[in-house]
Amino acid sequence: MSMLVISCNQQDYKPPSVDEMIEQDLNNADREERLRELGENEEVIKKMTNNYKTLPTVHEVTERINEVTDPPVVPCDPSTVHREETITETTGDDGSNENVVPDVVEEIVAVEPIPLHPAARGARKLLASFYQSCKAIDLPIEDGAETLKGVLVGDSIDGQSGLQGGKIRKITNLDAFVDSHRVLSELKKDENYPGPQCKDATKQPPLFAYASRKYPTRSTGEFKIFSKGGGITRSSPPASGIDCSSFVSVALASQGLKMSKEQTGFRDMTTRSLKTQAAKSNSCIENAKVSPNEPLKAGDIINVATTHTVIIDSVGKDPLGVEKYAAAGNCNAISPKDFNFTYVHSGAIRNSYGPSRVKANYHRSGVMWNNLAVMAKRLCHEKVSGNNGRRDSRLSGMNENFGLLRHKSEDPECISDKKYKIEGQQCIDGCENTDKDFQNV
Amino acid sequence: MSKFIFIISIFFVTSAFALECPSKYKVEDVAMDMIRAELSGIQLEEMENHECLSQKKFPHLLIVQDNSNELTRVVAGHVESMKDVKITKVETVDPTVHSYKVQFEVKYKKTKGGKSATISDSISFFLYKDAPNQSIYGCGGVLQHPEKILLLKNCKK
Repeated sequence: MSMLVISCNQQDYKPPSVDEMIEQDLNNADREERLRELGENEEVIKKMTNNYKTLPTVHEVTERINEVTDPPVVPCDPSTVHREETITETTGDDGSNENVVPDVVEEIVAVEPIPLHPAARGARKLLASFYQSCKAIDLPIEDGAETLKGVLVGDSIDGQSGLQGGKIRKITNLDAFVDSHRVLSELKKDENYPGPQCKDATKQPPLFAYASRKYPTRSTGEFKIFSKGGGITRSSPPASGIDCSSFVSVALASQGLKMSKEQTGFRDMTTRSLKTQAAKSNSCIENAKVSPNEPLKAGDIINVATTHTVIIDSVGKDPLGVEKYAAAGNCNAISPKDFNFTYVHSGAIRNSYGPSRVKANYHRSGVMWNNLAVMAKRLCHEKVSGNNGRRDSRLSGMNENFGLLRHKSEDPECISDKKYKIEGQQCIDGCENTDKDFQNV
Repeated sequence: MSKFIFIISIFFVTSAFALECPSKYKVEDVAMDMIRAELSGIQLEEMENHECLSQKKFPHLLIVQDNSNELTRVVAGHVESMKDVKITKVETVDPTVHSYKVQFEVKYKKTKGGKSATISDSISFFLYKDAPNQSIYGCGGVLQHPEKILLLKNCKK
């Protein structure tokens, strides 16, 4: 048995006590100014700790530290500009304690909206159709998002069991559900919602639903999305249910994206069949080729067979932190909090959201995000070694069920003339953000 | 200077909640923590907010529910205690990113029929080696869960 020791290599450094530092500081500098600053700090700590009665969360502490240590933020419109980051202070990459201090600076670059990859376009159109509003795309789930209220999850509810041994859901309090929802709460406040020809999603909300699948109707070839499916109880108020792989299947089909070159008609995929399909010779999806400078693209599908699948819809600068940590020589410090991209999916996130757009750095752990972090670390090491070429995204050390998949949308044999319509799509067809990426990751 | 004092003081206030990875923790120790999280139901939706998965019980590992969005996870049996878990092999998968695969055996009682049995399974994970990440995530993150879902007896719902 291996007896490897995990060492944090913490130095035997004993910092001076706070009292010692204050004393030293007060002797050396403007006493009144220092006392004022210390008083301010104390007020902040009092507020965060509810007058020393509770302890703040790690997130609150991190935010406060960033607030204190970051340079002043230059006000700018986030939809039109982005900031360049450079690394100014680095340490080694030998597994020792490493502190990367990014120095946010200067360069302000105008960003033009870019046409969306068809897979990303399909994901956004489907998402906006569920909510009957373009706003669903502009309100992603991010750190600190509230957990949904007014929804019950169980093996069996009101005498009805979930499909295939899975959970079943019921909305028990529609008002509480809508008010705690990132998108629906905003739509409820909007006087112009729902628009002409649109349904009201605050009265029939989208919801994650285990094994609720969507298929095109024989008569019109349109995906009927405003139905519960088997993952929501009959006793629930109206809701629109869908699971993760059905969401991906419908999104791709809505843009005429085929799974294989000889495919005719709609092909309903699961996380397992997505994995096996990518390995076939006639396939229209493949394991993505990635490089340190382009570790993923909008339109890529992140898939963990038997678990979950999502479509990346927008990729920010340095989306996996490869550039930043390679510059710091600190590759193994990459973690999910460094991700700078968004994805669209249907998942049981935050108590059953279902169809939603999510900022990837919302996640702190989980097999999907940990494997992506390992891929990023590997690419970062390659970059440090000067190997910037493209390679298969299935790198060593990763879960065999994990895949970063890419549709061959540039191959005419992988595109069908038939683009399946989505029920309610006419309501959101005028949305600019379902066709273009404004890169407001 | 005042910023530094603030950071020091706020770390003092939060030290009870920040995660850590002890400097002399072995790969086996991390694996055991991860297996304990598995046997506490980290892959099961119904175990969300259960006392067994309380973060306080895992000072060296960030507890985040990782249930499936697609396939049902069925509890195959129950384990009396962590004493019934034995690590049989530790394999370094990729030393560059500090990833490992640990094989283990578990004695358990089958959900159906209650018969005793022993299974072999494995868990893959990587380690965080830097202090900033260790304070957020603990010692590491899971890359591949064990195949079989087992629950500690005292975590039964």
